[in-house]
Amino acid sequence: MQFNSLHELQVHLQSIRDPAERRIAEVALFLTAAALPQRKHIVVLLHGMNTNAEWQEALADTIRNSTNIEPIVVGYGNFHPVKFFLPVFFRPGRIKKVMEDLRGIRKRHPDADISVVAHSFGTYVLSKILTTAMDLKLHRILLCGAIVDSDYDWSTVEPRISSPVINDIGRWDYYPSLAKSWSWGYGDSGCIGFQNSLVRDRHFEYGHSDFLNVKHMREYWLPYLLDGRVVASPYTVIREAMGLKERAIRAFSWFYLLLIPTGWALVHWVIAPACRFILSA
Amino acid sequence: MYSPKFDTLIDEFPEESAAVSRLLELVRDGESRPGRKEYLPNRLYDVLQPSNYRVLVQILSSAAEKGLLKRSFRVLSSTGGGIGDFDSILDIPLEIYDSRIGRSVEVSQQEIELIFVIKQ
Repeated sequence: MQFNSLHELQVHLQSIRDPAERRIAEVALFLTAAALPQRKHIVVLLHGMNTNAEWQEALADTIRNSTNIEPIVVGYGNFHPVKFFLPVFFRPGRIKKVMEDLRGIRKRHPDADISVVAHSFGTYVLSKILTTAMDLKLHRILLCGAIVDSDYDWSTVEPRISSPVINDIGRWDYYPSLAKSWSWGYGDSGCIGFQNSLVRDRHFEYGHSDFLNVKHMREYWLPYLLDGRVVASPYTVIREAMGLKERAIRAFSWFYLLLIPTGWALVHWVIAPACRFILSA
Repeated sequence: MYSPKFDTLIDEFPEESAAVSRLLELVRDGESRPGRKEYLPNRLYDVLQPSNYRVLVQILSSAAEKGLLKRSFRVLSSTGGGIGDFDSILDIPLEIYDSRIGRSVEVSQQEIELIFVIKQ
């Protein structure tokens, strides 16, 4: 960018309020003339369950207005919580739908980098796609409110993605723990992280959907999507230990509910008759 | 001398760890030799080999913020050579005395050069 005078240039720089951004802009002035053409970059935005995913449109708008990245909103309809908890009948159809969408995007843009931002049930869908669609290569992956198993094997996926994957975790997000405890196949990586060298877990003082605001997107997501720059969350190193409520939610699950009738049946039909037999003998 | 600040730089740019490692080599090399080491951004692009210029800007800005490098904006005389170094473009006066030609001159963008200096 060329300015007619130094004064004009200084006025332009003063209009950038953030000092860090201004320092970057000053350096960029001396590099843009030699800038190389970059590959086309597409970011696919994948929503969670039971939502119309307004955040997707907000992020798409932010990306469109401030970067050269092309945002594409992908979804699977309004996934009802009842369907969410049922393991077999409804999930495969949603996974297939998104997988076909991703393959279609790759087919239309064979030379583009394709990154994905996924929230909640979208993270589960993406993890299943990465495991099964071995032909699908993605660029950057950003998860938030993740319900993927924290033991997910990222090493098998690593050759087809740019590492590290970013996993944004909310301190007050109980949904991943509930999903893990009360259904099948989900995990609580949105609460405890993946603790894996291929993933960067970032902690925030957020609930399940608090990530989905433009300020967070601008501050933490855009640097990663644009340049692979991981902006550290200060909360990651000062967060409090898990509280009693969280421990209780994580510890209690459908398995314990099954134990109640099983225990009752054991007492009623096995232990009590055995005691009666011993006493009458 | 190795600085843990390079670890934080790699943490910040994990995809560019090779470029950051090359920057570390450059700083080590610069620190081990006498004299002031100055680099133009295009030279740093060649040496560091980052993915693109955008990310080079980010890496250099972050390295300067962490004190690993010092950046300076140098005003050049029309006869060649520098006549003043400034920390920011905002600090550069609109007119500056050019000791090489013996009079004040108006500064324009074309007469400003960005340099990165390895601190010693």
